[in-house]
Amino acid sequence: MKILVAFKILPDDQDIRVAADGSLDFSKAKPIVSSYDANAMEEAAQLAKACGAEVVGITVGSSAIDDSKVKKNALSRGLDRLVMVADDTCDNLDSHATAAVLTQIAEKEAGWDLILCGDGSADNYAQQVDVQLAAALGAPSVNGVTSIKLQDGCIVCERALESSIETVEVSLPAVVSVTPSIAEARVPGMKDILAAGKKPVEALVLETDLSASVEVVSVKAPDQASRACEVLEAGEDRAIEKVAAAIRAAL
Amino acid sequence: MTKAMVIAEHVDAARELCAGARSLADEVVLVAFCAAPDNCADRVAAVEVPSGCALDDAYATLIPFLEEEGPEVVLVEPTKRMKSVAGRLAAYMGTAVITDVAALEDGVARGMYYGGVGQRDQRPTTSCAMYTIQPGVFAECVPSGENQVVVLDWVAPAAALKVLSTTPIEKKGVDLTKADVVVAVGRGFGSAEELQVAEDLAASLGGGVGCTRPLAEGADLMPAETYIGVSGLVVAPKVYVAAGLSGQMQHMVGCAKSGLVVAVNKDKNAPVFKQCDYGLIGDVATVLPALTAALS
Amino acid sequence: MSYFLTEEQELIRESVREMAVNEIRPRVMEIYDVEKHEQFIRDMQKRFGELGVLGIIAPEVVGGSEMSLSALLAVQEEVAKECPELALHLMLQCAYTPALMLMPEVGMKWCPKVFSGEAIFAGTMTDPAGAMNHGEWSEGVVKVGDEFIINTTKNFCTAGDIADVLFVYVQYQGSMMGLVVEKDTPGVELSLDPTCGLTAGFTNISFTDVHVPESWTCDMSWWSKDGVPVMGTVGGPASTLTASVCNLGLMEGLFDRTVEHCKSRTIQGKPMIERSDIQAKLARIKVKIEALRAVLYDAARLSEEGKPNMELVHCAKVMANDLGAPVCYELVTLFGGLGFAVETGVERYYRDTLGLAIADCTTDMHLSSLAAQMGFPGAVNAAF
Repeated sequence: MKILVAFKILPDDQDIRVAADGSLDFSKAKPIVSSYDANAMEEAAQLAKACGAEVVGITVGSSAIDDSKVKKNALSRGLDRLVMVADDTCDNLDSHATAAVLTQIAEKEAGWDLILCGDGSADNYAQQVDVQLAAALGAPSVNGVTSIKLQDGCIVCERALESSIETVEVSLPAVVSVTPSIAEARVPGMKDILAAGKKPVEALVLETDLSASVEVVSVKAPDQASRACEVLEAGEDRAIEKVAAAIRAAL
Repeated sequence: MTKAMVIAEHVDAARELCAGARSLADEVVLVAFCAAPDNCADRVAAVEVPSGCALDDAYATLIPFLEEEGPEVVLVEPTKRMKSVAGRLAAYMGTAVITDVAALEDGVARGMYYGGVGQRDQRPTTSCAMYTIQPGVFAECVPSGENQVVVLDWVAPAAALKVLSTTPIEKKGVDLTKADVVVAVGRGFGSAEELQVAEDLAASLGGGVGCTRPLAEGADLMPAETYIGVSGLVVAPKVYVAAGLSGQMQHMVGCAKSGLVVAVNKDKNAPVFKQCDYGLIGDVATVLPALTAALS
Repeated sequence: MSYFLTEEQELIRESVREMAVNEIRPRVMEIYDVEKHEQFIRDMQKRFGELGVLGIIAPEVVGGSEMSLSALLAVQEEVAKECPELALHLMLQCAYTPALMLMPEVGMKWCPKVFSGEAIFAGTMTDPAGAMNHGEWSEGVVKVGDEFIINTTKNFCTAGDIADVLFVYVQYQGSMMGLVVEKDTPGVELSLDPTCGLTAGFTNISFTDVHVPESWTCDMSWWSKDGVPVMGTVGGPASTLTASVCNLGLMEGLFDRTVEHCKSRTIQGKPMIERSDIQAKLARIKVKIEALRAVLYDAARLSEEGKPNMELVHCAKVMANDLGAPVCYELVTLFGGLGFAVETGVERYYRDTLGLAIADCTTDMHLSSLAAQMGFPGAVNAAF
């Protein structure tokens, strides 16, 4: 059995700074695996362990994602192999274009049974690539999945909707988007890290025609709702009363 | 004649998005997976999902309808299943959905970037513009329309999903997205007993209790559906009490539009104190009961 | 961290950093609690075991990863930022492997258990006459047949109260010997000694007629002979640098907390961090931290490359000892009264750094050794 995990490599948002003119400075932000994708990788690894499957990570981005350390990081999270398209024309693709390139990779990995995706990427959180990819591959898909049971030729998933939990049967091959609660992402240990460097990595040449459906008009630091920030020691005289009065006034 | 299509599964969302659609286009068509609100669209297609079928698979029914109608704009409610349907339609149309739009002006959609670290304005470049829209964006608009009925028969896709069971989530307590008061709890609370003071404060004000991600997932102290933040609830109550939480961006974007924000934390350095109107430095175990008493 | 780690070393450092912030930080005050410290250390030991960090420099034959000394130091440093004592404890779990491997039966039995995180190891050296004052130690052991019988007292053993296995240093026939004793062996009595800092399990251990088979003993005369520590032993860099790095991490951990504090705390309406006097103070401390980092990791790198420089090793320990207290004084006082209150978890760094300046030999002892390394006439190698 073969499980693909579609994941994103992007700048570490902890190190994104706001420049004086309000623009975002990514210069100190190193490439990392998008955090919710790590949960998808962990789930894939656990499923694979239970049924003896191979787990292949697939990803697309600019040449910056072809970074030795981040590739090892991804491979230390339960993947057996990694296949990527790293091309500067693939920087900040929208979900439709991303799905097109991931399709190129998935078709090369013919015979895949299941593709797992994270809940949403750390930058856009669009929650669209799973569905776009499923559409391009002609496969069924389900999102919001909190548990997966492998069965013969299909999977039975629990998914969390806004007001209910659904149990859904999906025939394989399928694309599934999982929530972070599906599996706690491992803190990669020594064994994982040392093995990572020996696992196969393939960088494919981009063979997909890209079309952009979305144009970015501007990116900047958010307009701050300026708040009063009146901070008091709770024990200070009349502090509680003051805040209680403000609450009453607001209601 | 410009046309806007609205796709929604809840009445409130349908109404608000139809109102927004009316402000954007001459003709409004609603695809509803719920009862249609009165007088909100020119035409309403109510889609009934057959038992055992998944709403997500409605795309097979809607694709021909979308092609036929050819709207310039599609506004979709941002629920999990609606996002799935929207994505399938977008894939068919060769475009991408712009998601979780917080403001829309002249086709330019504003949304969060990196979980709130930035904000980004985007514009679709294809002839059919598709958006999922956050609640409140079209709150000021007014819906109208004759609601002429259109019948759409369910078309099942190949490899249809089978819904084996649906269990409603017992929403204990208040709908946080509608409450006037929300008390949010974070890692400063270590046990279920400790949460009582937050529940008491919320109850005294007729509000509800929400939480940050660690309490909904790792610590498992609060129900998952009360998690406020990126990938969770977005609330805008009149009063938001951020209790025992540090104020990380990923949580605060879920409550940034609240009226009055009061933070309580024993750590003077907690980032939440830079994002509140009033901050009280102290232990939630003593401060919350003191507030409850002062408010009674 | 070192600026020269390999990618694998960087990745394990990042994993330990994540674990330290998410798992050590929320519980760190437990290590200062007489009731809670054992469970805390055991829980963290288990997690270190799961991450494969306990065997980081050990041979593969006992389940180790054979990484370099710099890798261990980088990992300890991350732990020390949150909990200096746990970093010292980590050092003990890792650094005794070569000695244990001198006794194959012991090494093969206990190393895998320690590295997996199931068991805790402690080394007990300090004698009432002074840790390195070997010439004045009384003979702690006699040989009877193919057994050794220990009668001695040891002081200040870190984790001695919770250890599953102890490495005991005794003087035998004028030179040093090592013996391994398992927990609950008859004749071993423990008593805890409250201390100023590094408060978990500073244990006094008395050995009364404790029997140890010969295969569980090893000759340590290569380390200390005729009452004096041997200069430039193979283990020198590892043991001294792993102790020094705890203070580097300690200073960095407190520094980062202080910077965060200065960003939010205001004086006369302005955040402290915007004041030039505070900026200069913090910048000067940064200089000291980087100076220690450079010497420490240079010494490690030379050792890894088979060119150990003991002068540099002693320099690192002296710097670590001597920078700790003044830096902590400046940082803690920036918090004002908040820094002095136990609950805030700031003053503990000041107390711990005093302990680290004593553990693995004081400055006076290392200066003596450094003088000996530099060939000054009559200089005595006092430290290891």
